[in-house]
This record gives sequence, structure tokens and C-alpha cells, in this order.
Amino acid sequence: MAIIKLENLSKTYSSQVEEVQALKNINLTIDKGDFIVVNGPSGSGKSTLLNLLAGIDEASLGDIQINNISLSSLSDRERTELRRNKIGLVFQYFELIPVLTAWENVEYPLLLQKVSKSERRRKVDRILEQVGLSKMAQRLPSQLSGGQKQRVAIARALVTDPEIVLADEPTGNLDTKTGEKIIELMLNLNREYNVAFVIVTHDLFVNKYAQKLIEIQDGILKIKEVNEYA
Amino acid sequence: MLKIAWRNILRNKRRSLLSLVLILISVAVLFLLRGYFSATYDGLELMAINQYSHLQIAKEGFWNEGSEERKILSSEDINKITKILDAKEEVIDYTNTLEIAGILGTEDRSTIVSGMGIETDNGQNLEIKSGTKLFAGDETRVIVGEGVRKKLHLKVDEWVSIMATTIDGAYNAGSLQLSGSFSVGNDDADSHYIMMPLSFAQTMLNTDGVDNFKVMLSDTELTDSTIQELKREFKREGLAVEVRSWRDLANFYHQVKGLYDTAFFFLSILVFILIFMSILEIMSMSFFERMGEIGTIRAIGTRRSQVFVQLIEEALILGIIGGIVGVALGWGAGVIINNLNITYTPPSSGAVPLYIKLALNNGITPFFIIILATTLSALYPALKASRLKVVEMLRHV
Repeated sequence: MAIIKLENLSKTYSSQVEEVQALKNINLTIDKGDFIVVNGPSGSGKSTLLNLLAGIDEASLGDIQINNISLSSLSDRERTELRRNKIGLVFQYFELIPVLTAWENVEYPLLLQKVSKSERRRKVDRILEQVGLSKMAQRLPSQLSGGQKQRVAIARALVTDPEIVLADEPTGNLDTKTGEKIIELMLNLNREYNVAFVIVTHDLFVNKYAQKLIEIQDGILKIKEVNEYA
Repeated sequence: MLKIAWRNILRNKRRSLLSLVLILISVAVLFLLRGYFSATYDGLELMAINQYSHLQIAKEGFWNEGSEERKILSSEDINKITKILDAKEEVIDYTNTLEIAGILGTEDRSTIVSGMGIETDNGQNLEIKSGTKLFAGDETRVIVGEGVRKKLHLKVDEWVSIMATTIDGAYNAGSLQLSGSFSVGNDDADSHYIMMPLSFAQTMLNTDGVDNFKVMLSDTELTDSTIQELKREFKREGLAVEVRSWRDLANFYHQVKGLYDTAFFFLSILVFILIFMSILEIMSMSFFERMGEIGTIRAIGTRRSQVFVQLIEEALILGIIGGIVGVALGWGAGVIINNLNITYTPPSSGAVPLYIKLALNNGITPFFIIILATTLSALYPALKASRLKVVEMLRHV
């Protein structure tokens, strides 16, 4: 079942000097439970694609539909609500709130959703246990390693039961061993929760986990292979 | 959100402490100034009530400067007013006075004086510099301002002559014996004021009337309501009189209060600008440093309004803490200043104690000035932070 549809999507950045077409006429369907890996060199348009999917940037042409709702028809407030409820985000530099503990960072999106205290406690405890960080729950991000921070970020992305998690270079700031563990964790969660993952990465080792492998070059998207789960 | 705001304040302790110190000092200074001005107003109020009593009753037109005819309360008026005042519980005391202007002199020297005939059995709230005040039963004694005594080289019990015109315009003269000299705390006034028994002043002016009644009440707060009641009763009795409060009569009170209020207003504006600019700078820096973080929380579903509120809360917390602790600090400094018994000497006056009135009321204005300054200074950075595009803020990382 398609949860996101990209139709003839283009994105052009204009400056006083030149126009750069970051994405050209992209068509893509993301189904529930997909595990998609997006490759491509720097500046190819990978992050632009992710920003458009997340609704934090606007397409120049074409349309993105999430659950058959066109993103371009939504106001800023409605797009914020959509991100809050349907989309989980994971960043290369983790982007945890430095003044909150790991537990509070994971709790934060639930506070935005106005989830009750008992339900918040139950959900946060559960997801932190799943990412293996129960014992680190009360630590501040500055007291965690890179891999632990990314686990917290993944827990934060998944705690609201989103339909899709968008991860921008989630292993980019981690060593290969830790990076592999993070991707395996994502794959496990993808299977357990049946949540779609779109992972933008430079790290080629991630490709082996991909259900759909996509390459973007000069703004053009190519689906390289479609596999069953590895 | 409040928790995040609070922790963000603790996050950059040095910067927050700097802002707090600035706020604390500003609030404390404003609190002390307010306390000093407030104590001065109280002192002026007391001085004005001592001089004018809580209220005065005089013949209609008495206070009209253009009036040529001397307006004096007749003995019939005096009787009626006395009866009404005696029936009032809140009236604790009253006295009659009669002003007299003339020349006071000895064989060698003379000076123009402004005199007052008073009832000698009534308390004379004056600082006696030499000799004694006037006592009940005194008929031909006088007390003079210290400046008058010095000018005429007078000694206690020495006889002086006074020359004045009666209310009909005839010359009249008499002799008075010096009881003592006084000071009202103003050199200019001390150089021409004198006081004598009312009966002597009435003889000099050839009248059995008085200028006015000076009425003291049990509580200053009752002044306005008592005036209203008296006006109604005087009207009922057909008395053509006017009643004025000490506030109406004491011009100096309004002048000094106006001057101090203006000074406080400008100082408040200065403090406001100082705090506004400082917090604006601090909040802008803080926002710039946390742009990526704000972008992240926007990306994961925080609304613009929530980001705006969070940043305003940070400034508000600083303002509230600074305001409360600043008032406490000002209070402590006020206690120390009051215990040091510092005095200062204003022009044409004696030494005055530097006293700070310690009241929470005096902290209200400084507190709200700070709250306003901190909140407004955070407004622009907060608006900017909430309006920027998420993707632009994330690129800032």
C-alpha cells in the first residue's frame, strides 16, 4: 500500500547568479514497510529529496502525496502536524536537544502530541529498551557516544508510531561497526513496526540491507534494484 | 517547553549570569531610588500636614489671589464652624490663625516680617532654636524665625516693636517680648516668619475674626471624605466658606513630587533601554548559536508558535528571577543604607537623613519595567526564530 507518491517532482534553487536544478522530474512510490536506501554523490539531490519528503522544503514542480493528501495543499501548520504524527526524522549529527536527557529527548515528540503521562512513560521505556538504551535513559546527549546518540534519535523518530522514518546519513558520523549496528537496528524496527524507512547515505555497506536501492545523480532518480529482505 | 526554556538558561551559565547581574543591579537601583523618593514624599507629606494641617477652612475667596478685600471669618462664622467641627469624631484638633504682615524692629534695626497669630495653647510643630515656644496665656510674646533673630540681633525676653496696617487700612503698632526663635527647615522662611498670640494679631488688625481654621484629623486617609462631609454641612448652615486639603495648599509637595517622578521616569527609560539592548543582543546570540537545534525541533513537529513561546519564556524566566532577586537585593541595600544613618544637606536647608522606604510597593514598577524590557527584547529574536524556514535552519548545522 502506497503511503507516499512522488509525481514529476522537480526542485530548482535560484540565486542571483544561476539556477541549479537539484531534482528533475522524480517519480517514486513508497509503500508501507519499505526499506529504501538512497545513494548518490554529494550535491546529487539526496538531501533535497529527503527535505521534500519531510515537508520542510517545497517542490518547484510536481507533487508529493502522503496518504493521498497533497503536501502542496497543506499550510505550514498542517505540514508541521503531519511531521509530528506521520514522519520520524533521523539526522547525521543526531540533533538531540542538548539540555534534555535521552529519556526526555524521546519523550519530546509525545509531549507535542499531548500524549498522557502514563502513556508517555510506557512508550518511551519500551522504545529505549528496544534500542538498548534503558540504562542510559537519564544521561544527557553529551554523556553518550555517537552510536548511543543515534539510537536515541532513532527511538525519538519511532516513538510516535510514524508511517515513515526519513534518515539523512544516519551512519555518516559513526564508525563502520557502529554504523552497521545502527542500520541493523533500523531494519529490525522496520520489520517489527512495519514502518517504511528511507535512508539517504554515502556508506555503501548500507546497500546490502536495502529492499529498494535508489541512486540519484545530477537530480535524476534511478531505481537500481528491488530485493526481498536481505 | 518551560523545562527546556529553564534548562537553556542553565546551559550557558556565564551568559545567563551576566544578564541576571545586569537585571539585578538595574532592579535594585530602581528599587532604592523608588524607596528614596517614596520616603521623601512621606517626609514632604508630613511637613505639609505640619504646616497646613490636614485641611483648612476659610472665607469664600480667601485663596483667590486677585481678591482685593481681605476675607476674614467673622465671629458668627467661627461659632458655627466650631460647633460642626466639635461634633466630628475624626477631628482631633483645630486651631485658628490670622496672618499679619508688617515691620518688626528694635531701636537699631528693623525687618519686614510675615507673621501669624496662633492659638498659643495649640502645639507648635517647630524646631525651637533658642528660648521657648509660646505658652497658653501668653498675650504679648513672640517667637521669630532664626534668621529674623540673627538679623535683628535679638536676645530672649528682649522687647521688639511691630508695625502693621489694620484690615481697614489704618496704621497700628505694638510691642512684643521675644520668647524664642525657631526653624522650619528653610533658611528663606526662617528669615521672615514670626508667630504671636492670635489675640495680639487680632488687636493689631483691629478684628475679632480669623483667616482660617486649621484642622487635624485622626487619619490622613480621611481628609477627602471629611472635606466632602464638611462642605455639605457648611452649605446646610448657609456658611460661605471654602475647604481645602493639605494637598491643595502645599504647592511645594507637588513641585518636588513632580520633579522626582520625572527623574524616576527618565531613569526607568534608561534602565529599560539598557536591559532591552543587552537582552536583545544576548537572545540574538543565543538564537544564532541554536539555529540548527531550533530547526530540528521544528522539523520533528514543533509549531512556530511553540518555538516563539519557548524563546519568550527564556527571557521571561530571566526577567522574573532578576526582578524578584533584584528587589530582595535592593531591600538588603536599603537596610544597610538606613543603618548607616547617612545625612545630606540640600540648598537652603538643614541636614536631612538619607532614608530608603522599604516597601514591596516600591518594587512593583521596577519589576514590571524589567519584565517588559526582557520580554520585548526577546520578541524580535523569537519572531525571527519562529519565522525562518526549517530547511534553512537545518542547513546552518
